[in-house]
Amino acid sequence: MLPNRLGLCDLPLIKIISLKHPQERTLESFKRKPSMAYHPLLFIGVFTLSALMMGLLPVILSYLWTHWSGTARPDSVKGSVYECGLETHDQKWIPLKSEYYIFGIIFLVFDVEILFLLPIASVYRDLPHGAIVSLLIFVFLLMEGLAWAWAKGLLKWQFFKPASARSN
Amino acid sequence: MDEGLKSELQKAGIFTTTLSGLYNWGRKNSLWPLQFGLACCAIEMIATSMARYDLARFGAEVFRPSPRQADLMIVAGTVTKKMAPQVVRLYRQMPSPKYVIAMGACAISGGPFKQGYNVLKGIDRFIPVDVHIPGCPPRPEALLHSIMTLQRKIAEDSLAKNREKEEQDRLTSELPIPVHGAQDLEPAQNHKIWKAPAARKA
Repeated sequence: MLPNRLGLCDLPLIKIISLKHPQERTLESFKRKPSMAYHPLLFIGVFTLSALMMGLLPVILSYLWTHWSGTARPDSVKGSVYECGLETHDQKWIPLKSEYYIFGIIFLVFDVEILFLLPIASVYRDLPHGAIVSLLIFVFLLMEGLAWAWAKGLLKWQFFKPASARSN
Repeated sequence: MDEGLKSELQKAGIFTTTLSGLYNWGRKNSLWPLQFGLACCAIEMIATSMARYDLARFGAEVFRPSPRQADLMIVAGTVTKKMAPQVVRLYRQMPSPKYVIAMGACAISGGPFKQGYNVLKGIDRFIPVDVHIPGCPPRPEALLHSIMTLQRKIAEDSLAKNREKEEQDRLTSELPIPVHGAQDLEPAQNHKIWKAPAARKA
């Protein structure tokens, strides 16, 4: 009766949700095919949809509201980029240096990776080979970041200079 | 609905309201002022938002750093001619419906600097003002009173579209931003929203 095709129903949560109250189990319900309502993947769909709606609904509602109330009067002053009262000058679309990513990489390597390596170190003898391989893939992906930071010369101990002055 | 019937029902525990009443009730109790101060009145405005006077009681404590999120402009202080175009531009960038409180003698008339060459003689020459507060500077209580006055004004707004309202909306969204001319701001005032007071003979 329960959809066990994906083997996910062994998870306790799914089991609790999908088991009907005993009194509701009539002969009819046994005869029926497993209904789609209890498909385990359905929950992912429901959560994805509600997450999307949480973001989109306010936007849609305010869009409808401005159309209904007719108060939307966009013009060049209202839509200008700068919002401190002064006139916007120069180009609005300029390339910005994205230097922060390098701190992101270093944070991942030296903070997040260490955080994961400690529990791995304590249990890796008992892990199956597949798990070891996938862990190593994760570690090597982060090692790549370390190599990148190294190549950029960020591991040198020196007074702070902007990364733009440091590279090359 | 008839007021008498309304209060009769209220006694029986039935509260009635209209859609626009509910809408305005929400609007008037969640005014978001624009966070900008021009002179000493701004200090009183800041004091009003703090714990002693507690502007939060009126739902108007969320001072927004961006005009895009604000619906109330408190012109708190002396508007110099250098500053006037910026004030008008900020007003233009606020979404409708928007309200203006002119706080203090300077904002409503130029105040003690009225004779000065560099001070705008009242912000209502360029933007429509809903509530004027006299005082130099007005006490926080006066600002609270102006907020309450504005709330009463908002409560009377109608949800229905009407020609007058749309015309007003169009007018305020197309207010010209003055530029600095050789002698004065050009234009020196917006005649569509401001009429020079008639000179009185002594």
